[in-house]
Amino acid sequence: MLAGCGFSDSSNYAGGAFLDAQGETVSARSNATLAASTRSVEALSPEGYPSLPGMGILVAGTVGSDSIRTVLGFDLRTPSAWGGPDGLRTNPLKSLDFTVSDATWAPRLRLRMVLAKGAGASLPAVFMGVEPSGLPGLRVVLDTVVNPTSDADGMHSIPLPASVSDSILATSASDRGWLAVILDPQVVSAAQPSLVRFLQQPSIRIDSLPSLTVGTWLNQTATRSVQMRASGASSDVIGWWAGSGRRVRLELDGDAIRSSLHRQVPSDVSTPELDHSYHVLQARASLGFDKLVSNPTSARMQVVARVVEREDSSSLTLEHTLGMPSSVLTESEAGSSVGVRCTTLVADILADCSVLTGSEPQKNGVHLAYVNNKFGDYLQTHFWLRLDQPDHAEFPVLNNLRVAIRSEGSGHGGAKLRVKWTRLYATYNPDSQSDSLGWRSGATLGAGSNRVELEIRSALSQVIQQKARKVVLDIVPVGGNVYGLDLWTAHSSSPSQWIDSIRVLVRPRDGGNI
Amino acid sequence: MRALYSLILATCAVASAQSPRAILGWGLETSSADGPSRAMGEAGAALRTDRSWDPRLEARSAFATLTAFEVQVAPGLVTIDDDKTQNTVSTAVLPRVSLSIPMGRFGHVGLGYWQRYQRAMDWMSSDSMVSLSGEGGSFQGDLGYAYAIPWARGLSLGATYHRVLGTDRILRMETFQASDEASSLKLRDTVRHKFWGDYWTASAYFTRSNLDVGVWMDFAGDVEVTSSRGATNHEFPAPTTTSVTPAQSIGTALGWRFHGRHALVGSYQTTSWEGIESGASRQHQGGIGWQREGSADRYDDYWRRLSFRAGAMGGFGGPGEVVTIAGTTGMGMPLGNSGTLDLSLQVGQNDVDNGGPALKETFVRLYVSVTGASSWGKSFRTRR
Repeated sequence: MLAGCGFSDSSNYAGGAFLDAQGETVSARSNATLAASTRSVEALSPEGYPSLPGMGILVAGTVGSDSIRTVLGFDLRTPSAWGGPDGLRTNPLKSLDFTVSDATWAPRLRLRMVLAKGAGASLPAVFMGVEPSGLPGLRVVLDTVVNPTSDADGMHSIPLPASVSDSILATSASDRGWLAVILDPQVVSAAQPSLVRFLQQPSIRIDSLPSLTVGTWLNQTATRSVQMRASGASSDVIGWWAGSGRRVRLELDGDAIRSSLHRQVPSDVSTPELDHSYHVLQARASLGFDKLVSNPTSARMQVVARVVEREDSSSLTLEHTLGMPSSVLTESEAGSSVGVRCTTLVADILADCSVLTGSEPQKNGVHLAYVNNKFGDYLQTHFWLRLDQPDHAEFPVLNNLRVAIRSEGSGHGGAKLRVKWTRLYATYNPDSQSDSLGWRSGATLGAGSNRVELEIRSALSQVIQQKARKVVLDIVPVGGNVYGLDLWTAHSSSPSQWIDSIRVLVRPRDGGNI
Repeated sequence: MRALYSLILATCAVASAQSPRAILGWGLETSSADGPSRAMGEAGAALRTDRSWDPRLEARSAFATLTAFEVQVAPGLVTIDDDKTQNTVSTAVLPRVSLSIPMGRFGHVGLGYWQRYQRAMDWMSSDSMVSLSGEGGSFQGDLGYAYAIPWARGLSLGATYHRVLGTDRILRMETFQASDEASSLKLRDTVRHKFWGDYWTASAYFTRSNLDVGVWMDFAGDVEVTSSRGATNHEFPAPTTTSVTPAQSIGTALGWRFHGRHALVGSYQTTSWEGIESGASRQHQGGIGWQREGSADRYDDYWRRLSFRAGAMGGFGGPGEVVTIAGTTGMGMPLGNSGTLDLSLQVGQNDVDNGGPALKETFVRLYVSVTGASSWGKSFRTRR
């Protein structure tokens, strides 16, 4: 009780041999290089994506061959905004205005304006990057290419032809719903410098009346930036782009790594389930890339490790609720009635998926899907999932329980959805990749380097230690200094395994009192 | 009392690091000797006194007439020598707090805290990258009862219940700084023990004329030792609990008073370590001592009221087969009307003698014992 009330005032170096004889051996540190054989590779959206409209910063521009689409929604259902139902006759829409921080930004833009009937049922699909031409209830009223210029303050003003106002007037009042604006910067050359800029204060100017501002769609601001890369990326790509991104989940072959390490640095303190033979002081995973498209010129990533306790998966049918299987519930959660449900937003194109408690969407104070992306942390009860192409989202629902909903895209017989429940045993935060000046240059992709060495000591410790449990490593994109504009895509040079080798520094543990 | 608190805090404020030997068994053991006995080769357990209580020899206190409260603290210095390296560390121990309550014809009750084992230690590798430290230890809460046998003059019997509890921890920590990383890495590795159990000690005491004799014996007890492990980035199975019999001692002590205020004392104790430390042999400990007791007359010159003591003690066996030899000396100083300050200096050496790597400790330890005694709780008639 009182024995530990003091502190050591000096270091005692004597008695090392005695402690060694008592089993308190301090073995020498050893270096080893491990081949990282990979059992599986899976591509996933980053945590918190796909984000709903209104989340984060609105950007426009091009990154290499990718154009970042900007979608703006204006609510036309309140005609008082332009002086009554027929106000457009005397006060036509004059111009589309927005500001960018850079007055020299002068992109070539494809401008489309789309009228959505009534409540605009198809509008969510436009926000998710679907081409409007094939969507029901939408009518393109303007499709032109413009070269907007700005004033000294960066204010861009794109004049709108009278035909836009005429088209709105030609629509019956009951059908008058939303006006969607789609801006697609034109890619001149994949090799051109990045031209991504913040787009702020978008509005439609009306003569002698206050400008029309973007509306609110399902409690979200009706704006979204979509980089077209999101739809086609596969597991050979990691990146962060407007509206979504890609992380890569690996399962390393723990048996092979353990065998290799034990062969190079003999030590054996283990049980059938756990290997306690080493303290990993340093583990540098080497990853090679053969292509990087980025804005700005470098890319950063890090590794999160998750130890999996149990997994279960099953098919999900649209309009049906899928309850959480008992196989992933703990005893204390056995009474929880949590499920997921995806309902059709736009047939065969877009679904709205929710996490449910009983038959109701989960609410604050219950169990909400908690997501974290580069725009910060937020809670949401639902997200939109593309049905016409592969799409995916993963998020936590209960303590250490994650649910992933994956759309395999429309094939014959409609979209196939699968839900995967994962009970995590533990999650290990990524190791720091920083030196005294900031992000380690060795862990930075770009600026002349096509290879990174990521510190993964916490992750590798679990791969080595966990003999009976699956350990997955997520290579996740990391935000840079230019918040919201760090948009990049990197192609792995060895997409079947991603990590080429791991250079480790370990200290064998002994099996004595410690 | 404020001075006492200050003394305890001041003692705790200095280092408590001890020898790496604390890794053996349940840690470094501190005997239950009372303050005056510390200066008499820790052999004064049988010397009849009104002011001290020994949880092993509860029976002695059946003849005590004063209520006494004693606190011991022991700062010290230990030089640790392994034939290659030598380091001196300061130490601090708070081995005992006790309260002795005589109840006249109803016998005697004693209770106390005894920090019997300590893990406190500190070691660092020569490159300062790996450190090993120990904290805490198993301690005892003791409750004793003694009774003087009415029909056998000078004979008393006692029993003490020892509640064993406490936790200790051995922590290994490695600090690693990669050349291209901003933050250093700290890897921790710990073993924690939690103790819970009990055992009994029976004692008998005989005092007549100038002779005092006491014997005690521990009965087999049962202590649950729960061990848990932890390490950075490592997962361990749930804590395991084992049930062990704590170290059992049998001992005897005697005191012989002569020339009025002089006394010679001696003691011997043997302790079985089976079940505690694998392979440890039986431990033998003994001591002899002398005391010249000061005058009890409060109007005497202060120097005449001082007590002077000296002794020697030794032992061998037990965890690590440690051979101990030490000389002791000290004095007792009256504090006010009924208090006593006993200072006991012990200088000695512990030498691990198990055939393994050398480990020798040379220690200088000053036991500071403050005792307050009064006839509290007794009626005026009883006092007379």
